[in-house]
Amino acid sequence: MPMKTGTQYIESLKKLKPKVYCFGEKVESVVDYPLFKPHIHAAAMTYELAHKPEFQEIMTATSHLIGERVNRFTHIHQSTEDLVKKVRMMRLLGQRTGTCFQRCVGLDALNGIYVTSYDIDQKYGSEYHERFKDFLRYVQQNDLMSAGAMSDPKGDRSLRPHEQEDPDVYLRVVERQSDGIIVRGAKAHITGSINSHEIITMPTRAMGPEDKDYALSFSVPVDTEGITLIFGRQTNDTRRLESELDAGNPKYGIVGGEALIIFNDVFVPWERVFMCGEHEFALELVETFAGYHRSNYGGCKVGLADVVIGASAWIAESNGIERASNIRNTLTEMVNLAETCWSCALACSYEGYQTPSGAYTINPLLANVEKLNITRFTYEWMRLAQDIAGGIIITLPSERDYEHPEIGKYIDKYFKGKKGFSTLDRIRMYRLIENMAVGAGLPEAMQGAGSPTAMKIMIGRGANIDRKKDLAKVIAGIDEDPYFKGIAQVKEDKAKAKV
Amino acid sequence: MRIAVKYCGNCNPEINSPRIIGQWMETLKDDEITFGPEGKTPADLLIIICGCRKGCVDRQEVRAMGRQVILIKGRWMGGLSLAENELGHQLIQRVESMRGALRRNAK
Ligand SMILES: Cc1cc2nc3c(=O)[nH]c(=O)nc-3n(C[C@H](O)[C@H](O)[C@H](O)COP(=O)(O)OP(=O)(O)OC[C@H]3O[C@@H](n4cnc5c(N)ncnc54)[C@H](O)[C@@H]3O)c2cc1C
Ligand code: SF4
Repeated sequence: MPMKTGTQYIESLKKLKPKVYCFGEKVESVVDYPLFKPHIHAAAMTYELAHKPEFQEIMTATSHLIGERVNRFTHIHQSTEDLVKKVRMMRLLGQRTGTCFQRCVGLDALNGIYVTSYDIDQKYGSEYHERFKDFLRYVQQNDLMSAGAMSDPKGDRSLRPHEQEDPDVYLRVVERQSDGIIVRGAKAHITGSINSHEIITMPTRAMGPEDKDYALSFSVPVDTEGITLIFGRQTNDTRRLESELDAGNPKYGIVGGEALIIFNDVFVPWERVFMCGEHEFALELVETFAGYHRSNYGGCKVGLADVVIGASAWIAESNGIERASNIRNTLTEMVNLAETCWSCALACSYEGYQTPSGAYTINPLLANVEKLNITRFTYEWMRLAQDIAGGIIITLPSERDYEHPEIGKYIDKYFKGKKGFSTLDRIRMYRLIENMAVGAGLPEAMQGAGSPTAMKIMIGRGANIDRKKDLAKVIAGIDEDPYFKGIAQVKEDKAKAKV
Repeated sequence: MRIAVKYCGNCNPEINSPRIIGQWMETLKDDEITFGPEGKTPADLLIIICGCRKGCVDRQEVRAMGRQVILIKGRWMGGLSLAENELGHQLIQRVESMRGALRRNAK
């Protein structure tokens, strides 16, 4: 079976030698670097659960290419049922890690490129799709984790790629050779990239003919010559170096572990190039990828909501107020917000459809509505968690004070709650809420998979306001009502319903 | 020619399917048109017209209602994304080319 376990995944990372920098130093071993460990554990969960019979139905699928059972994170969706199982998998993993498990971006890149490379070949008779399928077989057979690198640094946002003062602020081809291409530029904020096997790139916006060198999609191993990764900071990141308790979620961390990836004249063989110059397909790839990716958020972030709702309820209980109507109301409101987003995730999956490539995609309008709700509702349920938890989540003394032989007893005594709840457990839960509700997870919900404006553009495009105007004109009696005649047994004049 | 038309149910369509079908029907002369009764002998041609790309009614047992099938899913027809006002015209053209093929086969 071509599926790695969690430990096999971690072992496989040891064979790679990516050039990674963090806090101004070169990281010798990604898997041994303490700051990275929680992120690696979260990604490892996507491997581990695939081997558990209780999760197998959701975590695995049968590949249409290699005919074997594969980890769903490498699968091309073959039905709406697959799309539904994908968001179920996201919720499950959000619940089991309490953070970003990183691997969905690569999954969405695989599906987005599968769909778009097929369409490019239909127009140009090129070979991108077949090349991509070969790559996909390799990914499935080796159960690889791929980072999905779409976002360019973008420089002056009002200018197109070819108009930028520095031509490298969007990743581009600088040379075409007989055996491959040379690329230069960068991708920013790329989740899980330091602990991925492959980096898959895609263009980040619509492109015109002058931008054709930027209309680019390819995949390379993370330790390819010329690639440098600079790891980004997150709120309270160094706490995990100091102590376990203060980190809040010491096993799995906070957000996904993002990096700036620099491509300094990197060679990419043609077998790994999936778009090169077909600028009119850049937008299709952006929208297809973004549609898949936005549909995930009502899964993973709702999984996180499940954890934070549970933490809030536990804190209320340990404070002796679990029966108070305000607390019950607040918890109900949190559930309502979370399940609304979940409903969107299910809806856009059930309403998915088959693309010409054979792969299924989500309903784009509903996926964008889902993600726009996430950019708001996550803040709201985290605000409510802060409300229930109280000010202690940002005033608690440190673990070192709690362990201190002289003053530790005061913390233990004065932060005790209801009988039967230890202060230590209460500290753990408060720190978890601090980690989830105060830090980097919030802007992740806002910006990950695109800013709210990007969603509104897509919602506007799918809204079909003209049809809504037609409906209103019929009800208002401006236009003919074809069904009313039958109901009321009246002869409508040409245009109006005469009652 | 016996032609069957099957609508999807049109819960929230992005195209006006009855208008497209109406436009096409105006061009017909003596074809026999039925609207999707299931379980009869297959029609010579089946037009499945869905209001959006979801294509709820594009199912195996529905396809079995026609010896040949034309499928419209929202603005998608024959693998192409078209403007709504092109769909009626495209449908007329496709039906006519299938009619020609059927005649040739009959000979
Ligand atoms: C935690 C996290 C993880 C991420 N992971 C990934 C990943 O794995 N892969 C990946 O490819 N990307 C990833 N991203 C990037 C994410 O998709 C971007 O953050 C998002 O698209 C917004 O882009 P930006 O951050 O560059 O912000 P900006 O582009 O600087 O946007 C800031 C604001 O300016 C507005 N704006 C931008 N351009 C214009 C314009 N031309 N006209 C008017 N308004 C404009 C935006 O709408 C927004 O309101 C991640 C981001 C985060 C925060
Ligand atoms: S195909 Fe679209 S419009 Fe038609 S019933 Fe299904 S969802 Fe509704």
